[in-house]
Amino acid sequence: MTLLFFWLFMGLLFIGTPVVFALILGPGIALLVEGRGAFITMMNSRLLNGLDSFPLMAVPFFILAGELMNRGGITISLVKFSQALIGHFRGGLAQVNILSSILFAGLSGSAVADTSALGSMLIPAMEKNGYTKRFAAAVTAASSVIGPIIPPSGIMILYAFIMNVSVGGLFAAGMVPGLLVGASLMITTWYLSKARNYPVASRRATYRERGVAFKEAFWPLLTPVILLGGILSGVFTPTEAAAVAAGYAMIVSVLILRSLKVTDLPQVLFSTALSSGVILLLVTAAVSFSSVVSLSGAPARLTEMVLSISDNIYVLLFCVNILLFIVGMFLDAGPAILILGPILGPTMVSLGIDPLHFAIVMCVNVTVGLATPPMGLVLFVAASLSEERVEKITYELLPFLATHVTVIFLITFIPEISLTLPRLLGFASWPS
Amino acid sequence: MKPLDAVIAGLSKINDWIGAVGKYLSLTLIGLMTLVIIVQVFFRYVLNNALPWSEEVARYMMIWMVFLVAPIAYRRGLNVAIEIFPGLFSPRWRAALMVVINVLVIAALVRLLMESPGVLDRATRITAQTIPIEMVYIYVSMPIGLAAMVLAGVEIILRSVRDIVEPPVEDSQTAVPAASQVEL
Repeated sequence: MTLLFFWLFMGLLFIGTPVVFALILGPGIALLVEGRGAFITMMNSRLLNGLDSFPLMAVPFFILAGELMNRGGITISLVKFSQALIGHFRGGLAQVNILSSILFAGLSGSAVADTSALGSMLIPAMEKNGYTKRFAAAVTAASSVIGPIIPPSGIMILYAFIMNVSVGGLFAAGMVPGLLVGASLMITTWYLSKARNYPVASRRATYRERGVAFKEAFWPLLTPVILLGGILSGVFTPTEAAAVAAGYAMIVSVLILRSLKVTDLPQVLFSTALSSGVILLLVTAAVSFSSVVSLSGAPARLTEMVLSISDNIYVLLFCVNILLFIVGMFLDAGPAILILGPILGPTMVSLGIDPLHFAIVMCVNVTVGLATPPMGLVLFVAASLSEERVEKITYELLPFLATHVTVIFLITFIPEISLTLPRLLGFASWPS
Repeated sequence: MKPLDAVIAGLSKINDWIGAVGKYLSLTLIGLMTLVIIVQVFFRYVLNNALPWSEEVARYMMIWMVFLVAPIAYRRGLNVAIEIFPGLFSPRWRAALMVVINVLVIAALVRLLMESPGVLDRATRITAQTIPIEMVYIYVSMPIGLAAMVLAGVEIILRSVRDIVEPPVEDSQTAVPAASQVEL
C-alpha cells in the first residue's frame, strides 16, 4: 500500500475539511482508488469499537468535572487564595494569574477551560489594575498551558489510550514538568514586572486573611488530592477517579458553595456531552485512521527514514521538538496527539527512549502549540475575552513562548525531570 | 430562491427536532454514566461487593451518547478544522468550497452506512457480556447517528448553495472560530 492515504489526508486538512472527516476520507478514498475497498469494513468496525473503552470514559468525566467547577464559582475561590498569598509582589495580578493556573490545573485537564475561566475574571481585573489588555491576555494564554500538563490531563488520557501506556504513570510524570513550566513563567513575569514597573495588586495579606481565603479554597483544593491520591495509590482507576471528581464537584458547587443551581445542571450536562462527543468522535476516527497507518507499513518506513537522518537519539528528539512546534502552530493538541502519537511513538521507543518520557515530551510540546499563532485555541479564547487582536497578543506572548521553548528543551534532554516521580511510584523502571 | 429557502426551512425543522431528541437523550446518558460509575466505586469500597455490569453498561451509554451528539456537533460546525486556506477566499468562493467538502463528507457517511446492515446482522447473534441484551441495540446507534449526520450535511450544503447565489455580508464578529469552546 502506498502513502496516498496520507497525502489525501493532508490535502483535505489543508482545504479546511474538519479533522475528524479528513481522518476517515483520506484512507477511505485511498483504499477505494487502490482497489482495496474491502478494508473499509475494517475502518467501519474500528469506528465503532474505538469507542468501546472504559479508560476513554475518563474524558467525558473530566470534562464534566471541569464544567461543574467552572460554573460553580470554584475559580473565584482559587483566585482569591492566590491573591492572598502573592498579590503583594510587583506584577501581583500577573503572578496571581499564573499561580491560579497552577492550582486550577490540578482540578481541570484542559487548557481552554483554564483560559476561559481565569481569563474572564483576571483579564478585566488586570486591565483595571493598570496592565495593558494584550499583556493580560498573553499571561492568561501562556499560563493556561499548564492545565493539561499538571494532572489530571485530557491530552494524557488520549495519549495513554492510543499508545497503551498507563494513565497513572503519565499523570505522575507530568507533575514536575507542569510545576517547572509554572515556576519558569513566574520568573519571566518577575523580570518583566521589574523592567516595566507593573503595579502590586494589594497590600500584603495578614495571616488571618490568608486563613479565610484558604478556608474558602479548601474544598476545591481537596479535589486534586482525592484524584491523584486515589489514582496513584491504586484505589481508583483514572476513569473512576474522574467520575468521583465530577460527583464531588457537583456536591461542592451545589451544596457547599451553593454557587450552582440544580436547574443549571441539564445545561452543564449537555455542553459536557457536546464537547466530549466531538473529542470522542475524533478519537475513534483516529483509531480507524491508525489501523490504515499500520496496514500501510508507514511506521517501519518512517523509522528507516529517521535513522538515515541520524541515529543519535538527542538529535532525533530535537527533530521531533521542531516538528511538533510546527504542527502545533496549525493543529490542536488532541488531534496532534491522536494522529502523530501512533506514528512517532513506536519509532522513538524502539530507539531506546522511555515511553513515559517521550509521552511527556509530546504532550507538553503539543500543549504549548495551543498558544502558538496562527492557529491556537487558547490564543483565540484569550483574544475574544480581551477583545484584542491575536497579532497584538502574540507580541506580548513572545517572552512567555521563549520560556515555554526553554522548558520543553529541558524536559526533552533531561529525562529525570519527568521520570523521577513515576520511578519512585513504580510506574517506570530505573535506568540500569 | 423561494423554493430553495422552503426546502432549507423544512429540513432545518427536521434537524431541529432530531437535535432536540439527541440533546435530551445525550445529557441524560452522561448523567447516568457518571452515576453508574460512582455507584460502582461505592459498591466495591463501601459495600465490598463489586458490580459485574456497571462498566459494560456505562461503555454502551457512552457509545450511544457519541452518536447522538455527532449530528448536533456537525450541524453546529463544532468539528475542528484548519481554516487558514478557506479564509483566503471571498464569501462566495468559501461557500463553494464548503459545498465540495461537505459533499465528500456525505459520500463518506453514506459509504459507511452501507456497511451497517452486515454489522447489525452479525450483532443480532451476539449477546452483551454481563447484561441480557443483543449487541444490535448498541451497534444500531452508529447508523442512526450517521443517517442524522447525512441530513445535517444536506442542510449545510443547501445553505452553502444559497450563500453562493447570495453571498452573506462579511461580518468581523463571526471571524472567531466556532470551535473555540471545544478542545482537549
